[in-house]
Amino acid sequence: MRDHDWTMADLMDGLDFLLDDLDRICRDAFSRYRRYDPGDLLEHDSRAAAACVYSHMAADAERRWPAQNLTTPPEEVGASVQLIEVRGLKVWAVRDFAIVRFKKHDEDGKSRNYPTKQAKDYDRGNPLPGLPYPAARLSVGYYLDATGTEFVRTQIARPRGKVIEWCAAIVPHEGCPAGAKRWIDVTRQSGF
Amino acid sequence: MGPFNHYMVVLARESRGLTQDELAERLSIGQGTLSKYETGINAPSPDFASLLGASLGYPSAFFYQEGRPYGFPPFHYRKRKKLSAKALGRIVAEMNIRRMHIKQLTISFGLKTNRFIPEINRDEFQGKSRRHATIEDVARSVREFWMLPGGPVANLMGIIEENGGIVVPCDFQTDLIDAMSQRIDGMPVLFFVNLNSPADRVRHTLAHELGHMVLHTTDLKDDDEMEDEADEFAGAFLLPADEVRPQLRRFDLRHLANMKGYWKVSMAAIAVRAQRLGLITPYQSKMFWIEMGKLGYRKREPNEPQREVPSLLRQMVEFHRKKLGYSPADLAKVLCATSADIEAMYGKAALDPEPTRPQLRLVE
Repeated sequence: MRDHDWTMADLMDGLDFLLDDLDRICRDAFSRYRRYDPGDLLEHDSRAAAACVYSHMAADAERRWPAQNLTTPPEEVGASVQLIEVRGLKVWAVRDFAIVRFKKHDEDGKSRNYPTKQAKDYDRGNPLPGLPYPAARLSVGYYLDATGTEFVRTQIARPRGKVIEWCAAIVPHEGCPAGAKRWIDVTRQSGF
Repeated sequence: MGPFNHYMVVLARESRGLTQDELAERLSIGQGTLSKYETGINAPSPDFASLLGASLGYPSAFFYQEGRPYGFPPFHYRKRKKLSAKALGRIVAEMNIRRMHIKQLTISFGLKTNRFIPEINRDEFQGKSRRHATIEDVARSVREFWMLPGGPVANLMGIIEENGGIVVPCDFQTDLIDAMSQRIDGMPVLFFVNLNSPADRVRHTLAHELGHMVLHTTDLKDDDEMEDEADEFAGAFLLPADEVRPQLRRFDLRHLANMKGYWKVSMAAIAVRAQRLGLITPYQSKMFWIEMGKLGYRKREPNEPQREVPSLLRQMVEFHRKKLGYSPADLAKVLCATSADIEAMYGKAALDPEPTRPQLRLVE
């Protein structure tokens, strides 16, 4: 299947086994950041805050899914998720169908900072060395309230260059009845 | 037992939120008769005192206590204009009753502090400079007087109680009134605080009332002016200008939320402080309030700091129960209150039976 053939449902259902981990990574990283000394938090602007939270997310993800030799099939190494680093860009390959990176999101799943060249290529779906090419490029992120101090939800967005094709929110494990779908489509609808 | 105290009839009636007419009807007497009892023109019989007590939920001894209620102006309270006179009367009556309880409790408890809440008259205040003392100067002096270090006031209730105040947690059954305070000779300064309010608001309210107690005990002014000064004092006390000024280099919700986490003061109070210090323009202030309104933060802000809990009153009740061996009935008798009232005012712990020591048993 080609990259652009994956629908939101295909990808989100495929990631179902991973949604708890992704949600936990984002929530734990943010709550860990909020436990910093309030005097230190005061000196951080939103960029510094996002950098700190990203470091915690990346470290946690790396602990859960360390780098593996990609030539070894996942079922043999016992890992379905593997870290790949492309010139400083850390992404995690999920089996052979998706690649995720961690970002801070706005309500629509967009991230705001100035992207590096490889980040642009990642979002555009351009081939990058070491990344399984047909796999869908996704961005896993956290969305905060207006004050930037309260966690609203974890989201998975599908960037297509500068545009977000779709955005889905992960329903936290605690709030999800058994057997219910673990994600909801939160893509902003265009006006009628 | 002393003579019948007609002031207590008014207190008891208002504490239950009844008008004279309603109580007279309940007692099947004329309103004129009740009015004469309340004004002290006539003294009722002991039988009537029992009937009155049963009707209002007080022991008859309540009406034979000494003392008189205090109304305005010794009270200062943060209230919203929607609060009705009847509701305010009920709250003021309850505050008077609680003041009488505290007076009883302090007879044996003995407050061990020689620190106090100063009264400062700005016209006579000898500050560091020759210019007329500002509210900022007064707030700084109080912080220095109590030897508070720079930075946020960690536990305002604790500091007030260490310095001769008693914080009385209250349930005003409305969110239209936040606090009342009272300074009466021979008593600690009392702060009655509605703990139903958010924690950041409670802190600001308490600092506001502290401002009244420092500034307006001797120097009474127009009500609005006193409220404005107390508000300014609260801001200056909780957010000292020399520390806040460099921190307010940015003025956006995100930064204010972080400042709130540090100072444990609401974003709204920080914005008002910034405006008073001239650090933001009127336009910035206007946009801030519009944004707060849109997000629903004007009623309750996110990121509430940890709630402060007063301890002195609890210690006083525990002292009577545990050290002095007062049973719940003894406590009710000395405070001239019913068990239900005591539970409502001081919590269930005040009535819990003493934990009995475990029985010794033979271990094989």
